[in-house]
Amino acid sequence: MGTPTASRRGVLAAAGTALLAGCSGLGGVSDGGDKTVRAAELPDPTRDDGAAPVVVETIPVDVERTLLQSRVRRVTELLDGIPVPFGPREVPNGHVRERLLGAAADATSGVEDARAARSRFVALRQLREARSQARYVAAGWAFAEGEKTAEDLRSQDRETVADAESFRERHEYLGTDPVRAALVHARVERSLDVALADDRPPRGDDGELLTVAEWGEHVESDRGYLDDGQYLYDRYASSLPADAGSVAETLSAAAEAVGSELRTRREDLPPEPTEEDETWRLRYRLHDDAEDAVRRIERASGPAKAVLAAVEGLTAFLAYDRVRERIEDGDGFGVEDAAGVREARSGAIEAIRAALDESPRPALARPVLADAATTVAFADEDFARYRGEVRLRRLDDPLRRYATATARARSVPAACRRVLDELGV
Amino acid sequence: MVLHTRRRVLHVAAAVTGGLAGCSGLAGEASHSSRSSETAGATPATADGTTAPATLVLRNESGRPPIELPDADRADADAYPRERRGSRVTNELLDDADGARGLGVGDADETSVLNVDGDGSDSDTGGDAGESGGGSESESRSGAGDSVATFVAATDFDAETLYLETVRVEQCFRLRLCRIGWGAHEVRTDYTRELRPYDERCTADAIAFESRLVRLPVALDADSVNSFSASIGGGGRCDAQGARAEGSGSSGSGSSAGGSDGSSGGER
Repeated sequence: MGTPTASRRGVLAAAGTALLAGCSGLGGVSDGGDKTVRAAELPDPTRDDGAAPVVVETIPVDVERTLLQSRVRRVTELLDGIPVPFGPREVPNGHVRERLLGAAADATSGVEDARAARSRFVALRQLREARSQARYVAAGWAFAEGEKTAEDLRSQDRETVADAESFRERHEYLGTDPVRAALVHARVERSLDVALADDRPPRGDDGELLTVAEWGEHVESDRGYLDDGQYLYDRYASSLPADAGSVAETLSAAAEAVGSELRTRREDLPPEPTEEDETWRLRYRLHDDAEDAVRRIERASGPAKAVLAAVEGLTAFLAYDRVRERIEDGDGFGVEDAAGVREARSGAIEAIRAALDESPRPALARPVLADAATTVAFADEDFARYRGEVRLRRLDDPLRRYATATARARSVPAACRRVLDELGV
Repeated sequence: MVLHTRRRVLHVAAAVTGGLAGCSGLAGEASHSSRSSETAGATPATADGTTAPATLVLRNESGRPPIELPDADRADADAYPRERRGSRVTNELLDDADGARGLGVGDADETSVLNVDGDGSDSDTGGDAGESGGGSESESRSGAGDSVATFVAATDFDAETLYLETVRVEQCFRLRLCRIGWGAHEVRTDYTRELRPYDERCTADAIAFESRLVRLPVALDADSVNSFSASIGGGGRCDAQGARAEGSGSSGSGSSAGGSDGSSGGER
């Protein structure tokens, strides 16, 4: 997931969910009924400590500045020669024009976001998204100029697939430290998943030009994943001693052990919550995560992703236990006023920070914590939209995000310890 | 028959695509339509599209419906009732010549006569074009009023009924009527929305209206028809059996977003 500022679509989607969820008034975590709070007293990330997630993903590979610079150049080259912002003379259809200009703006802001990114790994991801958006514009523009067709792009995509197959052939699960290996190889697996995916080409519903633009985006995204995966792998492999062996067995065995344990625990899960009290949505969500955890481990495309899924899955089970225990102890999640909302947020952030410190290998904890931090940031975005007097009930969805993030974060250190045991670290 | 001035405004959800999955398409309704037609003494149209009813399609880019009802204030666009401007679909069943004669083109300078539905890219134009009043292939904007008058004049209200449906659409998109079904108590339409070619000039946030005047081959009693629904799917495609006719056995494409009967509400 991107940062909230980088991933506008995600934010909008989340906001939509929030509105729907809030309307029902069912299963909320606020006790408030018709109580209201003043929006000005709610958490405001721009006023408090910034909208950026408190923890972001990193990768234990020395990503060179020159690599990032070359990725920026790719975006620039793609947009070079396109007279942005063009008008109706160049692209008469206003809807098509807006789509192209929107992608150009996203590409440009993606580069800006990457410059401000808090880790080079995040920057790399933002630049990959930026180049895909730039390619969307470039391909659409080239079609308008009569220079590019969907078939040209299809053949490029076939080249990417062939290159990805070669990469898969030479990829080995080299490593000396299974934690570092899992984190890097999981990215390699992901890049191969994307580049080799038999994904459906654009349907062509939006007319020829935008179909070609979508092909361009698709081709560039696949190529971007492959480029980044190969870079990270080569950079990582070159940092290893010459006698580094394969950690594939270690990773597989650890993931399998955790998966096996979670399969048993899944059988003991209480049934899906149905009673619609004030915490059922929270319990429902965490129950769902726990139930899904085994499947995510089993279906991981490789052993490295399976190990990360094991951390996430254990976290999900522990978080669900934690929330249920708290409810059984009569300690609810109710919020009475704006101060309670702010406490819920600061509690989540403190839990995420503390979990990173407490985890024996913070790098292994980081992906789950970065995800929790993004959840908090999305809730922050929700709060930033409120104006005037707001009924507490309307805050159910962002409050639930804070509660979820807190429960997960507190569960991460134990989940990490367990996986590290299995990895023999 | 009484002079028919009743209107129904269908409040169709703003979202054109997605959502509302599971709403019934025309599949189940079509057989009902056929039965209703038979009850009403009409010959049901076949599903192959060859007997799809003659349709006149007008489009206006200036934010005003191209075909207006007799009592609309044609001189002043602002007088067009706000609630009707805001609704996505409006419709009217005209079952006698007196009511139909008053139909007018409110803003002739901004109204284009399109081809018979299908916008030239379908196979279901053919014979319909000649039937639609002689103005249907004209690109002349000044011919819009004439084409409506000619289309109305060519209607035999003893055996036929005119159905007027006006749909609001973003200016950069156009509609294609995939299917129309009718019965003694209902009329149902199923459109798909497609993006206009990139080299056709339009404004992204502006709206246009498309009016379709459909000559149904059955004498319906407008007062008995109390259920209307329109669905607008995305993607610019009618589904595999997208011929325009009632009784086709295919399911509706895209989302169904219409009200029917009481839920259509809005009558004056």
